[in-house]
Amino acid sequence: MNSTPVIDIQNLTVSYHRKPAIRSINLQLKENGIIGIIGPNGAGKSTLLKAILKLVPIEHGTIKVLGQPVDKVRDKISYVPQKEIIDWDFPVTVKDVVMMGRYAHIGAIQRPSHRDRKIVDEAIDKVSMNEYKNQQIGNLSGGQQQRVFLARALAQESEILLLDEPFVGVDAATEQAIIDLMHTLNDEGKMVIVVNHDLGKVQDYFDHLIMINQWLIAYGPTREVFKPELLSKTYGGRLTILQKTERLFGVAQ
Amino acid sequence: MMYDLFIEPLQYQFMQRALIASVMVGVINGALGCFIILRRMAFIGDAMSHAVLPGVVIAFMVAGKGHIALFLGAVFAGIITALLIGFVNRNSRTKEDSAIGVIFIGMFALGVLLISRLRAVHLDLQHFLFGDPLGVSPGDLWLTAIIGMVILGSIILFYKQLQLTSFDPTMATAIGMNTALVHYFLMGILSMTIVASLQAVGIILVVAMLITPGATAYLLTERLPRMLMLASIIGAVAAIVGLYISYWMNYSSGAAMVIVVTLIFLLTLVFAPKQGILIKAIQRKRAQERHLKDDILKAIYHLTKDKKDTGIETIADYLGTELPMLKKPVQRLKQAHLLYTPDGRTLQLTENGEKQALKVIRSHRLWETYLTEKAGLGWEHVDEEAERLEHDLPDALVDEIDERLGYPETDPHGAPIPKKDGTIRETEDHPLASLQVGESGIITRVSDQIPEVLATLWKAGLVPNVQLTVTERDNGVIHIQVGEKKFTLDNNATSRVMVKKV
Repeated sequence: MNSTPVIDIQNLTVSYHRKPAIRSINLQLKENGIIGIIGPNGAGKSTLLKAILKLVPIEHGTIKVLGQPVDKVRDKISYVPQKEIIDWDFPVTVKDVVMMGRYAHIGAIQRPSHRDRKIVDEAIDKVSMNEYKNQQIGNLSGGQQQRVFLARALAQESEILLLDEPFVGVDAATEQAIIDLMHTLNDEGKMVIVVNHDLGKVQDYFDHLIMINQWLIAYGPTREVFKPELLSKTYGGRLTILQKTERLFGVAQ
Repeated sequence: MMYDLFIEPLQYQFMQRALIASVMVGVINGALGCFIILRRMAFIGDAMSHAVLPGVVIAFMVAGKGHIALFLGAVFAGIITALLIGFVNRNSRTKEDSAIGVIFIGMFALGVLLISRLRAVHLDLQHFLFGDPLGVSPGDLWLTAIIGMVILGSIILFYKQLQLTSFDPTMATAIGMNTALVHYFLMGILSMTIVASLQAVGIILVVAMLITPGATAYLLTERLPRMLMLASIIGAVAAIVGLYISYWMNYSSGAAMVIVVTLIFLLTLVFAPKQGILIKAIQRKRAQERHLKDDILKAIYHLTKDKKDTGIETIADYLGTELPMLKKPVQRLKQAHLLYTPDGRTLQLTENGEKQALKVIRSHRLWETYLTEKAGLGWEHVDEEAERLEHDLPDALVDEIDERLGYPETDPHGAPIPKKDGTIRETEDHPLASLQVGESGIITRVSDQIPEVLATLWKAGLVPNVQLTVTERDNGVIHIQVGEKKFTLDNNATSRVMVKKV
């Protein structure tokens, strides 16, 4: 392993309508291990992921991924967006969605090959969604929907996975399945970065933490940075551990 | 008859051309319209159809009625419109829908203005606005065919890009697709489609041929390829039927096509097998009936256990419904051998009836427990909520709730929860009212139906497993003592608190 960072962020500033969302962040990510991004609402967690992919206008700074500008390595990054932005009534099946993960590798006017189909089937299998393959995605539960998007990321066969709030609205079994998959991928040498807002399980899930509140507060091994001083610096006075109310209603159809 | 209606008109060449043109227009619009709908661009579709007018008119002024010129003029105007809308939206506070509204009416007005100057050279405004398929020339036909092939070809070739940018533009951008390019490309082929449709339906009505077939197909399928096929077929059928109606009855053809396609949409809306209003109403009614039947079984179970009468009047009373409402469901329950009437009047549960009642009670009481313990709902409100949640749940889900709660014995009000195997351990208990002065009892459960009573008891600490002693009774009012505290309960409360004598 050489010492070129997998993701190299220099002096990054991102603003929405002149209001800064991220200010002057410097980050070099090269460590092996699952990386969590934590911070309060509006801290720029999702924005940081999107900036890596240049999905938001970058006001200032540079980002290199695998030593290159992101446009050259887009096929090596997969991104799992927040569930809220998806139109669940869209006429696509589980298989269709997972196949989208292959689009980065299929030529502009080419059709999916036999190999693409095989990879899609395997990805669906890995998230145990085999029996729902031909279901329209709106007919699935919250956890199942998240699995489908995870399978799509797997089918992309990328080096880097960026997951935005993957644990929101999923059942316990899916949460565990996501964690297991993240570990498998990490063992295969892939970088996994996860935006998470629930502090409860941070210590169990992540090897490294990026703590931000517009500014970068800390980056390091979880056991070193998940400390009261840094947490209160990240969350300001707003750190109230909210009672987590489990919601089971999503399961009933 | 069929021959006269459909074949005979085809001996005229103009009718043949009109038919071919209309079918092509129906298919192209139907297919392209699917993407317009899925991208929620119906309004842009309308805008574009109006906005191409000045392009067409200017082309006509410059080049006369040459097909290629008209076509280029329309595409040019279409692209300008799309760019202008984007520009206004990005560079001002104007929201996209306002930008569309401003630009397209402006463009349309410009077109009308130019046409009004052209009246001298007999360019018929009507012709652009409402179409005239019977006037389709061989040249028009070729133009439509070429545009049609370009559009269907693009949809087939760039299916992946169109699908992904419509479904998840963020991911599309993330893997390097140029979403803006796809957008403008779509605007381009949309302008082309509109030109191709000018002759058949005209500018004003083309948006219906674009949107309605897709919207109809969307009600019928959950697969995009099927939606594209269906929308094309619906578009073609509407075009053909509309054309014949206009031929035989001398109506405006564009209007006839749009009326037909709108009727198809309305019929689908009502009768669609999955999304239809009718089937949904039937399902809702069936669900209501099923829930009422569950409630009747439950009521009989409770009344029987409390050794009360189980005549149909008592049950109606218990459920707070009108007697006639119960007649049909009770009849059905008898036919299903869940109920029987040993003496011709009182209703009794059969073995299967009791099983079903216990299943619903299990679901109800588990939900109550779940809602108090896990969701933090108040003791007094969970009954109403559970009443809504208890029906139609798959057994596996109920078992899962049971497991998550650690297989509780009783619900928050102290009532026993039936087990998975359908058994229940009913407690031997009596109403508090049956205790005599000096006797003591342990509260086993509290009847869960009236929130106010429950709330009062909860505040007073009169909950299951609390021991109390009756100190005095007069006129239905009972004085009790719990530890150091003394309470006075009226018969509203004493009939609902159940105790086990000690």
